[in-house]
Amino acid sequence: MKSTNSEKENKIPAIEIENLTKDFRVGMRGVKLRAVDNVSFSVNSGEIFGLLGPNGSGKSTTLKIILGLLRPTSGECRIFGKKSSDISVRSRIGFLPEAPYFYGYLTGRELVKYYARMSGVPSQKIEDATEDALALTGMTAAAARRVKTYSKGMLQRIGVAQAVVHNPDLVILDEPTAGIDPIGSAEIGDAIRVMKSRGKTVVLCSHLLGQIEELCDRVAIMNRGKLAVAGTLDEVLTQRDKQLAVIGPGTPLTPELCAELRERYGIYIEDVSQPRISLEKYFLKNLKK
Amino acid sequence: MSFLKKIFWIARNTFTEAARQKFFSFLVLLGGGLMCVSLSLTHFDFGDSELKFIADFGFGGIFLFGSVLSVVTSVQLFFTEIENRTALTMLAKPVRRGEFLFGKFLGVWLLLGVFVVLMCGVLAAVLAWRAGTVAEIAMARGLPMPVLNFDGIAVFAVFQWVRLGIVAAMTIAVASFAQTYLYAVVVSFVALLIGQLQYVLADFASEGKSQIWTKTLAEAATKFIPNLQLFNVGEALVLAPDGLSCGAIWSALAYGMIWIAALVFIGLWFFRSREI
Amino acid sequence: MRFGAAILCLGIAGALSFPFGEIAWKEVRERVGTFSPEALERSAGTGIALGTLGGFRTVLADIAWLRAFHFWGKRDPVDCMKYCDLAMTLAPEQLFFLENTANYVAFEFPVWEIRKRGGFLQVPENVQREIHKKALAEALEILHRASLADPENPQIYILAAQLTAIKTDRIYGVPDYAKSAAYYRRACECPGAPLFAFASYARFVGEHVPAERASAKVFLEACRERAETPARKHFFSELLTEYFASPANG
Repeated sequence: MKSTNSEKENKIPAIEIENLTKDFRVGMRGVKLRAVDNVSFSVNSGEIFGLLGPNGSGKSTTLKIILGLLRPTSGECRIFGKKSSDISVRSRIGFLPEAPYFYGYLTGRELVKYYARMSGVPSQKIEDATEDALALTGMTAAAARRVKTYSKGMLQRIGVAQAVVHNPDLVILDEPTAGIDPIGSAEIGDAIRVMKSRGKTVVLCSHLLGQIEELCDRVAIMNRGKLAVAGTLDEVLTQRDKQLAVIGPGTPLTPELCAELRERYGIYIEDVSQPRISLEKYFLKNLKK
Repeated sequence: MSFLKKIFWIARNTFTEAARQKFFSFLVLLGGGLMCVSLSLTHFDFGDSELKFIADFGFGGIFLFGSVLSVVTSVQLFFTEIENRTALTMLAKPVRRGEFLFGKFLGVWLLLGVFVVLMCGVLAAVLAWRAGTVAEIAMARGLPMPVLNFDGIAVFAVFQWVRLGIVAAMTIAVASFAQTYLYAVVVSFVALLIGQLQYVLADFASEGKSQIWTKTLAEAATKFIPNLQLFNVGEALVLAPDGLSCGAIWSALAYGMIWIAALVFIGLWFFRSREI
Repeated sequence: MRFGAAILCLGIAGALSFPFGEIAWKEVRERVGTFSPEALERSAGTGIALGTLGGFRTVLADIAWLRAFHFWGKRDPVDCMKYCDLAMTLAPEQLFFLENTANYVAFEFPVWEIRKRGGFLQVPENVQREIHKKALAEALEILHRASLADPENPQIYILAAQLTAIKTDRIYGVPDYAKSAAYYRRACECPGAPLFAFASYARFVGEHVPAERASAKVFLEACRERAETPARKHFFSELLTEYFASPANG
């Protein structure tokens, strides 16, 4: 019976957004500004979903509506089948806002415990939940220090710890790697992979497209409040009209050979270059302890 | 978790955060130091008793620094949290806005209670120390013995706590719709000053000389502003032989509690529809 | 809409708290020595704003008095009075400020005024008298205002009586003993009046105001009846014997 319920639950999308629109009134005259314009998409349970877009594209507003912090002007937003304004659903969500400021005079451990209490973790489980969240984000060693002494990367990681301390089913991370070095960024990436392996749904908002590409199963790209595209990375990125071949070493791919291949076999080679690894990969390979 | 528990933890966290800040320690040291310094300034006094001079320093310090603490801490722990997105992390949890705001208020009020108790403790110690010497001099010269009512200091502490509670509630109400830090601080201080001078409006309204429309306007205004001078009773409670009647004390406290409840409710009213 | 609801809420709080506020304020008002609207009009300024912040009144009043004293040294009646007013407003219960302000106004200011107009030899005597008369009236007005705020304080009437007696005696040579006696009588009627007020009243009436003698005698006899100690009874008997030639019975 339990497994049937669980299966049913897995079929319910973690997030369903339908025709979502949000207008703000700005200035003394209350001029209408449309931040989100008729957006629809869904996030499946257990996937890592990337929400992308340039600054001012409406990502943060959409996230706030998902979290029930803003009311939509029109349209609907459901979390695990319940309205996002329903406060009970928030115990299933963990959230890290962009560039957050936490209570600087608390220690990291006190901070995570406090958020655990606020998330409704039973008091007998608070210690374990706190230590687990600190371990997941690699913050155990620094947990006794006051938050105001933390570096930017540590702040982000303690932010992730507070977001996951109550073992939520849906974790929303807004720019979790903003302003931190590639090693810290990779550690957060690792934590996200662990979350996925534990069956969590992760929504990731980031400008680091490389990281999104590496982590996400599906993405949605927003622009000027509208949804530009949504789908799996393959659906979004694959150029169906082109093919890529990796030629092994020792093959002299000269212009003459390319011309011959075109003439004899109809193979059209547009460009010839030597592959190279990304700077991020080089950084991680050579500098990570 | 029940809403009371959530409010308790938010209040406790707010208190811990505020009490660990240097600003709180600074104001406590400044206020306490000022009371001690007042001992060496009594030669500035003209024609009044030394104890009254010291007590006046204490009363002034408690209200002035208490008001600064009340306004600045309330704005910092409430408005700044909205600005810094800390409130987002909290409100993304199963925490209602009312629980968040009420917890914040209680945390600040608790801090103000600690401040008032510390200040009144220092004041009582300084007064007790000087009262002994003053009594000896009075006895030697055949002058009336000085009056010093320690129970009155305890009642005074409760009065100041309620008064500062009104100031904190007022600040939270302002901060709940303010768009900038400066606006929240300035408007709160102006509201505080108006509350301190509310009785002048009431006097103006009851004066025979004023015109009808100005009287009506003044009288109406008094109904919308708490009279903070009602709690300015340090001298009557501490240095007067007969103090205040129980009826007056309980009425003043009930008056303060009604205003606190109303102002917190107004804060909540604005905050619930605020887009953060 | 939102602000309208907030104002409504403030109004409800005002209405609900009003009965409690009234009970407490009746008692508190007379104890805290708050400023009257007139006082605010006279000395509006930053001092008031600071003074109303719930404390430091004595300190601020003392600082204001030091400023007043500075301008007294400079013979500047306008600025001196401004700070005297501020000191009296901030600490209306301190007799020191009231007494000294009244003395400045009655004795110093007219002399400065005469000196400013050329000195005692230049200014005609009748003009000088007018200046003094006006100064005395202003000083008595200050005391009158103080008596309205604290009507049962005998010290205020004693100050007025002394001022009237000294001023009329020295300057005009036409003492207004009746006025002095009236102020002393008012002081004697206040609870806790010092014995010298009774003595001064008896002397002024007994020696200089024959029309008041009968009334004064009855008043002092009543005081003797009410006296709680033999020493006080004896004191009143002595006064009656000395100034009204009517030895005490028993």
